[in-house]
Amino acid sequence: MDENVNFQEKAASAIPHFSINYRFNVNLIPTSWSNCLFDLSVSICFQVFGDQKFDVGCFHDLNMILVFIVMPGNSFEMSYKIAQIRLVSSHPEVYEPCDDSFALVDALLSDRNNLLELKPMLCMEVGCGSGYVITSLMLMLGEEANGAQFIATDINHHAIRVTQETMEAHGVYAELINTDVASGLENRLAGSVDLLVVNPPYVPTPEDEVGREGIASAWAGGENGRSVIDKILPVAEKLLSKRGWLYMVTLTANNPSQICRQMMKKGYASKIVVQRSTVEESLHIIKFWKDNDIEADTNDAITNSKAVPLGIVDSVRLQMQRLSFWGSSDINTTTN
Amino acid sequence: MRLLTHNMLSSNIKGVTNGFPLKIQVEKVVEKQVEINHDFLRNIFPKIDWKAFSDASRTMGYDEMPEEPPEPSVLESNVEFLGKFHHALLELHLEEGALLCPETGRKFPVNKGIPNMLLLEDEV
Repeated sequence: MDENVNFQEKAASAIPHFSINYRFNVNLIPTSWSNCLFDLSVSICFQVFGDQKFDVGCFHDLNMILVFIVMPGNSFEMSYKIAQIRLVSSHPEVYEPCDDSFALVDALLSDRNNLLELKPMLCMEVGCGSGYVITSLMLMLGEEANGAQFIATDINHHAIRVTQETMEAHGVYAELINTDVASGLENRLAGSVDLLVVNPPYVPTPEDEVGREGIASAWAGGENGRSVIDKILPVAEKLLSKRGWLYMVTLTANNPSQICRQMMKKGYASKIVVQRSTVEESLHIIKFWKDNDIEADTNDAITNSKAVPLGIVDSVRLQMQRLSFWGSSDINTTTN
Repeated sequence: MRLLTHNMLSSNIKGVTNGFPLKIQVEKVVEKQVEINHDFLRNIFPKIDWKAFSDASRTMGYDEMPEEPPEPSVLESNVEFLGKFHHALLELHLEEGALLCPETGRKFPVNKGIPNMLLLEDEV
């Protein structure tokens, strides 16, 4: 409790426009701390009086992160929009947005200018789950998308329903199809998709767990977590237009360098655009694009550069956005 | 499901050689307005199978699409036509109904605007 009072006082002194009308308790326990990623355990509980809008920002002070609320007129201008966790729908059989979803969205955000320059006409997500990624993609391109149309598929009909609700809550629309990867679309959409994003089931599991009904289909990836990835990649090659880009989430266990070599033989250059590490595993968000100059020589080094990690404040800001603030219940994001 | 999507869907049943276009069985059509973008319409036009599209729009209750595909110049300059093309392609939603494989007659249900293209084990 004392800690919380301390925070309130700190916030009050640090932010001139902080209003006493906003009461909040903040417990922040940063765990792993690195330049690329830090995991937070956050418990926020506050009550908001009135209908006033506000923005949440933060700064860090040694090992503690201070969350403060800024009154309108002093709000941080977010130059981009992504899906808000509080507006993301859910269902027990549907994968909720997690580190991998956030990493994929961060990868897209970091490439936003390039995406706008690409002027994609048809954008697609395979395995939309909660709809967090496709919704974020639509929001971040926004009006500058120049009429681009979005399609999302999922094998799980609950996920399709949840995605529909999530999109509606954010005021965006994408065409949804309940199907396995892109079955039924492959022939007519061949060579037409300019932007494809995939967060596949990548967790190494026994083979017989792959493709089972329900939420396990969201993560079960069979041997080395590659079963579904290896099924998706040829479909992706068929769907992508000549200028098309593919963003895919992988784990170290999936052997991303081997995936890149495989794709290189098909004429795709690749780059790891975001890498997030925990004690146990690393997530690699890989971007693939067709490059006619790529030599099909496995001895060549793959184009592989680590993205400039987001600064700590920006990273926390992104994390903070993803927390649901409304209501009086404690929100916990658990970490290692 | 909008007609843009219908134009991109084909029957994925094993052994089917002529799975496009899927026949539309209408139960409920809903119109949802969306902002028009001429660039998109001009860019997507070459990918549209016009006969399938104009037939489908008639099935959905909209008769304004000509049977013959328009000349590209029409898309460049005829704003009225672009509006109608936009309406048929992006504003008509099949909320409830089904899509039928032209070869086998197998029904792919459409519920709440979402087509279910999942196949049974013996169809894969």
